[in-house]
Amino acid sequence: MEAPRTRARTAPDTADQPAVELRRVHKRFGKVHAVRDVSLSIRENEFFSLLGPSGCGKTTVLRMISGFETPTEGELYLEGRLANTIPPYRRDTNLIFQHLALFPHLDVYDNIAFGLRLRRLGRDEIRRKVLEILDLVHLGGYESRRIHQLSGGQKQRVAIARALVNQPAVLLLDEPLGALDLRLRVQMQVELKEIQHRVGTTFVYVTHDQTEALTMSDRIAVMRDGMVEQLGTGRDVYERPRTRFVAMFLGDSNLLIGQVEAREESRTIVRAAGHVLIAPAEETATPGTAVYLCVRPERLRLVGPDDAPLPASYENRIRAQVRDVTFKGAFIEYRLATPSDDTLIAQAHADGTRVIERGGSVVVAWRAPDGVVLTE
Amino acid sequence: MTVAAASRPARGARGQTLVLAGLLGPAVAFIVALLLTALGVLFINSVYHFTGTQVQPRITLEAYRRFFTDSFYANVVWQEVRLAVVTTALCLAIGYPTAYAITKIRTPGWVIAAYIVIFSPLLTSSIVRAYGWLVILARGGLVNWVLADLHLIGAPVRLIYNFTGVTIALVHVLLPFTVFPILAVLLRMDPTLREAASDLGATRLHTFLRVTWPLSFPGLYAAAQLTFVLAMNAYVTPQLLGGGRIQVLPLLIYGNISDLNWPLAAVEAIALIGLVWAITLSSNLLFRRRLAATTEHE
Amino acid sequence: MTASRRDPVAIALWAFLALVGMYMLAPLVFVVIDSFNPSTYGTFPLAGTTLHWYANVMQVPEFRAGLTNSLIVAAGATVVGVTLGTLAAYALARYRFRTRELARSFLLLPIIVPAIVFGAALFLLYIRIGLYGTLTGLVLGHALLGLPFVMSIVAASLQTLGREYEEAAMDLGANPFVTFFLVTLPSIRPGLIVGALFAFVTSWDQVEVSLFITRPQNNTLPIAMFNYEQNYQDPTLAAISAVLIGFAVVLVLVAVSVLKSQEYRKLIERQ
Repeated sequence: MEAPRTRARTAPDTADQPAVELRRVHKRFGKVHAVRDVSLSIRENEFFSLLGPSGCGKTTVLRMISGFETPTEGELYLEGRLANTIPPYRRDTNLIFQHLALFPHLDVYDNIAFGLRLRRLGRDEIRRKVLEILDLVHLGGYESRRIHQLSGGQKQRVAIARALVNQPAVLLLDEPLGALDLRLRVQMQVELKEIQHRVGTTFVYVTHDQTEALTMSDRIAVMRDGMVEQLGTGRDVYERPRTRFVAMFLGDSNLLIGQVEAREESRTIVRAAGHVLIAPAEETATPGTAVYLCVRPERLRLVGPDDAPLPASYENRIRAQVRDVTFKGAFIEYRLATPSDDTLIAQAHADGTRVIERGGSVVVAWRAPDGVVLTE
Repeated sequence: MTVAAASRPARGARGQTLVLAGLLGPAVAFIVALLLTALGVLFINSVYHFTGTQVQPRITLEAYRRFFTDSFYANVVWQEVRLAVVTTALCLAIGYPTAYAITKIRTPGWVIAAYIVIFSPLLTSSIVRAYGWLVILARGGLVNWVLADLHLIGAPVRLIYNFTGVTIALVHVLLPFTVFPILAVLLRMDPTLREAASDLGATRLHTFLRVTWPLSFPGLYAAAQLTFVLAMNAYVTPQLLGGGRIQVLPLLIYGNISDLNWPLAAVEAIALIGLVWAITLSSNLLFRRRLAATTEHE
Repeated sequence: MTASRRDPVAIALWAFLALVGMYMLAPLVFVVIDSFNPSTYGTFPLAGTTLHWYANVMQVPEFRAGLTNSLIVAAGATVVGVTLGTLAAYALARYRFRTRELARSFLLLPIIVPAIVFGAALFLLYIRIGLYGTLTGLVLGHALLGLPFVMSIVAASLQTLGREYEEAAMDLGANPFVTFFLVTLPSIRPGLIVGALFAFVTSWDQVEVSLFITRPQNNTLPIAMFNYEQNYQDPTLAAISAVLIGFAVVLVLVAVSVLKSQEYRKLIERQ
């Protein structure tokens, strides 16, 4: 596969267009409003993920991009061209289905060659492309295998090969790794990312697994109830969640209920958990507003009575008692209770240092910039 | 995604109508052209005049009058309903335990064997099966030979060309149709319901009476309806095993068509359909609440 | 059945099932036995065996003609029934439209109307349009009877199969026609086979309708047998019945092998 690709098929004036664009798209199924006012723009060669729980509309969005659903309202553009009513067999997209949908009555070669044959390519050219793509997905030599003879991971790769061999402008993936066990899933995530870099195609990936989305994506759109709650890079979405839902959906988070005491240029003063706490500046945090203060467990440092004092940058300090200690392999999770009856979850690396025991009294501290003020 | 949508991709509504017309059109047109037209011709014939040797397209209700006033026809209907009811009752009595027993078989091999034994007779013509019963039940046939050999009877028992013979053979023909709906419902039943009853202290009999039996009622009802309708519409078995003594509407219909008395045949046909419908509808009304109650639990 | 071998309920159920099994197989078994019966009246017990009746079968011209006609008609009815039924099933299984349930019920009409009534009606119609006594008339009549079965079976197959393969084909560039022939039909092959078998058997064994629309010189096999039975009761009928039973046994073996085939099993498993 040549890489990085030049999109020889697009006309010059569409060269700067986003690969996929949705403008105020709605989708209704009878009374069900599955997708509400979604607008997004996916760049060329981007690995873009739609992340959210079941029923959030992410698969519907994907199916609209691939052509199996038509937007009820709004516009869908593919490479700058309005594509609402173009049928799937005329779009320059290919979809990898959740259950793969490999044709059981055809062998690996015929499955992969299916799309090429429909385009009436010559037999030799087809053969060359099929063997090439099989090598790319590390399945060289498997052309004559029948589908039921393949393992889960192998079937995955055939599905990827079948889609990619057609060199689509956009590759769509509908939770393709769901059926694989953890180890294989992680391996495939890496491989997918590699393939995407080599081939340079735009990938649109649907998943409910936030680790997966964070691992592979350039940007993530977090969806809930048919709407996009937040769109940004993995870091943006993880470290600067804009709503409680996003904060809770990606990773664990501590959410302290509180009230804004003052809003300053570079920081916000929040009263929560019986303390005055300092957080980054937040526009919508007017004094008196009820807010949540969100802090990730891994950003909390625990200081016991015998430990060295923390640097001054750890401005937020709360006394708490250890209620539970759980060993989670790579890290240790502490469940703490504050005098204000809030529960905090903290994570510390299991690096061999002393584990604080249940019942122990500690100071929980974090740096001001590590918190996020959430008004939604 | 929770809502399954018809994935007709990006095509106008008018386009879809055209496609549907092309797909459904032929079958629908076929039925209209053949079935509905033929039935129409039949119904029209019911008000025509029969001279004794030919049919004239003169509108008259004489065939209807004859059918509803001559007590012969009332007797025929009565005998037919009796036959159908007895057959249905026997089929249910045999069919329900059969279906139940099949659901209890653990080895897949024996399950397949059971299915084959019960359902494969359907692959043979009703004539073959009727003839088989003639062989078994005839005066010189198997049953009489065995009974005589065991000195249980002095003279051959009359088992064919009467109500008994027809019933035995008809039950045989219809039993698979009885077993099927009951089996379907029993297989679909949630096994954990029975386990829950057991856990709460119910004996097997108790579980059967309080859980399995009530929940299987829709299947039993469907089986009864199907068997009854098929019994009412049966021709071959009553004809071959009835010996002329068993008169049912299907036999009359064939006879009248052969005798060229098409109006009367048409009236009998309409009476047959009407009778079956009436009984089916009224039994549906009768059991409406009981059916609704059990299907709610599915 | 239940765990303990000596469980009386289990024993009772097994015994009952055995009795029912014997009841179901009895007429078929004894017809075959009777086909070797040297006695002209088919009396029991058998005083020896003979193949005389089998030889006789071939001598009866009505049986020979009936066999040929039945084969032609059944084949024709199967083709017509499977074609119309599959198209209709596809519409019902893959499209959503307001009159869908109405259409489904309408397509079941041929089995709701009593066969005897349909036969009589068809006779009256055929007399008028000149199809009485023709093989074409038989093919059409039988196809109509098989149509609901094919439609139900294929629709169920399509529903179980799901749209994914068809969507995959369309995604790869196949328009709906190409998709139907390259992907849909091969995927529902077992359903098509079973549907075809149902249509074939429905026609092959059909009596009530054929009775009305066949001409004495142009009968199907069941009608020829029916007529023979009215006049003679010798075991020739048993012999031809035994042949038909043998045919049915072959059908059962074919059906079982289709259901057990690895290909079918893999097809019905989700990947």
